[in-house]
Amino acid sequence: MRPLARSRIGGIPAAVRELEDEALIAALANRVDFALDELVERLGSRVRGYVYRIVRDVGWSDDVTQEVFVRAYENAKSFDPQWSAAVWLLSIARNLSIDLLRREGVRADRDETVAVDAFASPAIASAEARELQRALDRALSSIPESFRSVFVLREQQGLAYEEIAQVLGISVKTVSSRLHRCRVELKKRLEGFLE
Amino acid sequence: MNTTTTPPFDCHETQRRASLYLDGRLRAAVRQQVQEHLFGCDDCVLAFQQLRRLSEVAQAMPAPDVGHDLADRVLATVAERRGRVLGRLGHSNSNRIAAAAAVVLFAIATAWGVGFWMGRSVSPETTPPETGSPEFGPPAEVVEVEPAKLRAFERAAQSLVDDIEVIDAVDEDIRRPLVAAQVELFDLDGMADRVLQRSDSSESFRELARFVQEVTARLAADDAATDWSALRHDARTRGLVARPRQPLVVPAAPVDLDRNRLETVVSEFAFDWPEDRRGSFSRLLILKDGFVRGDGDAWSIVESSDVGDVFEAPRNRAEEMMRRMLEAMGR
Repeated sequence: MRPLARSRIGGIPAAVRELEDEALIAALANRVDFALDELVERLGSRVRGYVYRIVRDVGWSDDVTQEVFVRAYENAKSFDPQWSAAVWLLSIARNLSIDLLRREGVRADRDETVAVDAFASPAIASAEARELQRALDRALSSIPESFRSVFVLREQQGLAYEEIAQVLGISVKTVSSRLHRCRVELKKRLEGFLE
Repeated sequence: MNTTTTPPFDCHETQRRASLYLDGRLRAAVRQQVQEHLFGCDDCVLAFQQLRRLSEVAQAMPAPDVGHDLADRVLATVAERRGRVLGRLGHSNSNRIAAAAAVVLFAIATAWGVGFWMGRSVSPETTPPETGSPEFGPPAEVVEVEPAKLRAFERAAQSLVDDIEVIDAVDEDIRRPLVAAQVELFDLDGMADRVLQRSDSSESFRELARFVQEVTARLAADDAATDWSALRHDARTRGLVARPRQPLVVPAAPVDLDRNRLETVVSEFAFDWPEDRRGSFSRLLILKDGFVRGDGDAWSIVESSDVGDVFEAPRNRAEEMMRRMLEAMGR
């Protein structure tokens, strides 16, 4: 079957670049493939970052991230514009991540430092800051997923409580309760680092 | 003009609002009360600063690249799956057409054959109904469940009713873990589904199963403020509080408590409890498991200090609670 390739000459058209995220999803539903390029460029990192925090494996997070965008492409017609595109994609990401964890279980032999270093940014110059982030990464990995997700969606994805509630299918009160418990527990575990 | 003065917040009231304060989600009046406390409390100021620092560190954690070819890989996957689906549709379509043609030909041949030999046409009135046709309904689905597992579910679900009946006696922070852990550990929701699917379940048993589903739904909807009084009312309305209790019988249900599952459940609901309190909680759940399975000796691993740890009750109260728990379990 002929692949759905599109020419890279000239890059993503300006008209596509100017679309809001939600309009990109609508364009995707109409099979404007450049919309996918733009969506990946804008939200790909966010999705992968969230997935990694849930599945805790760099390879798995690549696979799940790819599948998130495949599902988005295939189901773009059913996107409800009352949602934001980011919330929608993160919701798909969460469901796929949980499915994977249920099938594969949590890997016990992961090197917890791999991801922080693999995702290292040149902006993180201080050794102390990197050490603190590694400590946070380790502490996060031992928090149950239902609490960890809330923390990651709030702190790293910058979602509002209401958006987190949408992604996870829980109430805003539950978001509030879980976020607070998670923060307090992490603070306890990182007390030496936070002073 | 409202002249009511509210009492100032203490450290506990202040710190439990820390997240909402830092996220700007407090009403102005409550925010002011928090700030008033912070003006005079260095310990709380430090706690708030640490939470803020934690947020800053989390927000600064690097985000990964996704690689320049992710969009290409996505499109290639979509194309590949479409190719597979179209391939299957083409194959099955030709099969379906052939099958449909065969049925039509057979029906014509049969009707003509019967008519020819019997000298009359086939009519709906003379055609016997088939098993599974709308006239008889679909064959009843038999959901096989070991009787011992059904007994265990009945005892666990009834115990849940009893716990919810007295739940106001325990601190708020233990209520949800106590109930949710049992639902999870004993797979009460899954068993409730099976009970409801069985055609031979009594109406009383069905009400018990429906109550379990109601508990599960409420726990899932809002774990910050589960409406326990509504659940108590629901249980009473369904006649579950007055329902006769199943006696402890031997042999015990052949269900071994999966210790990994127990650990997962305890971690999920009590991950931020001190270690000794978590240990006590585990032992209480093991005791409950023993009761559910009809193993009366399970009580021997639990001490009143475990009850005290979990419920944060003083020694004499813990001993009294332990005595009543064992009495309820027939000991």
